[in-house]
Amino acid sequence: MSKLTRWIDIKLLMATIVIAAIAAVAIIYFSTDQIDLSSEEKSYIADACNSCHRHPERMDHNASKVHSIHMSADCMTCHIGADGLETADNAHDIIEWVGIGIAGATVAGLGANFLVAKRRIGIK
Amino acid sequence: MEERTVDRYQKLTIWFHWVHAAAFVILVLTGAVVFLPGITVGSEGPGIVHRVVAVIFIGAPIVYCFFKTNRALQFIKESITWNRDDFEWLKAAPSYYFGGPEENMPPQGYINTGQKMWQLVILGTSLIFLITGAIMWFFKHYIPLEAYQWTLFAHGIAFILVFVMFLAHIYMGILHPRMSESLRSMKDGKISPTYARSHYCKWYDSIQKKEGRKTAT
Ligand code: HEM
Repeated sequence: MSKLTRWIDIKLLMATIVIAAIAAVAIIYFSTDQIDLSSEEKSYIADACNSCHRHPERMDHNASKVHSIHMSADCMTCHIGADGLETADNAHDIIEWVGIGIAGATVAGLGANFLVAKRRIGIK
Repeated sequence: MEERTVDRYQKLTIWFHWVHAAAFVILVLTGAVVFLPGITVGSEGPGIVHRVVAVIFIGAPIVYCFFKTNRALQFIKESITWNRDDFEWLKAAPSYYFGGPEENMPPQGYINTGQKMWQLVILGTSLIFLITGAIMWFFKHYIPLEAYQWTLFAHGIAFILVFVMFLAHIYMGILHPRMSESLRSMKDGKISPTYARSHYCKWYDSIQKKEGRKTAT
């Protein structure tokens, strides 16, 4: 048996393929109108936007540069009363930067650990 | 390297680990596109890939449980079973991992306390990802926008936690000078008896006893 066939167990390969297939079917089934809006929803949004913006043909909800999390600010320009969204919006902004900070500090800490441990123990 | 080896990970576990790890890395990359400020790649692509791979990330452990139910239960049990040695380990670990003396480290079982924490974080955050991910995927249009945003917030917090532990996990597995046989164990499933004794003394003693009993009968 070659090294490759010894490693790739047929049962495991089948299981992996089955999971991938289920995943793909699930996506196609559930996501079409979730990721891409239905044409009705698109025209509704285009109409709404058209009331302020003059170029509805350029409006593509998914290609919008405005992240969905920041849309509340946009929404509030027309929908008064949507201001409760602001707190969640700010909270998200905060964790973005906190996350970047924590990950950076972790990498720096691990790097320092490597340099010290390597000097004291040596690489075996 | 010593000729004799001790079996640590089975083939299916190794396979599962790498499929799961690959899924995780893709989720991190496609998630970052949505999460981090200032990155935009295409419009729908990352979102679709993120969803496909999320199903693999959650589906793979479920399939693994069918094939190896006992091992999966043991995984949960060893993650939540803590004793005095674990707290001693937490105290002694900083010095040890910075190259201090080995003698102060309390004996460890099949996994050490750091690995227990990693496993706990995986279990906890996977549950959060599953719940928040399902809400955002399937119920986006049925929940108030504010609830959606807080769900996304919880998803982000879980991500930060698991990502930080993931960085430490890769570092320990590949780079740390004291974990010299770690990566090998996730490739061929084996480690040397010396490594097993020094890192997982309680586990090594127990398998030695079992082997001794087998030879005696
Ligand atoms: C791609 C990056 C990764 C690398 C290089 C890596 C490497 C390793 C190595 C070398 C081990 C053996 C540790 C030992 O027994 O000495 C291991 C174990 C393990 N890995 Fe990973 N891994 C990666 C990603 C992941 C991910 C994404 C997860 C889970 C989401 C994961 C979960 C585990 C678990 C549960 C164990 C057994 C307990 C432990 O050793 O911590 N790994 N990994």
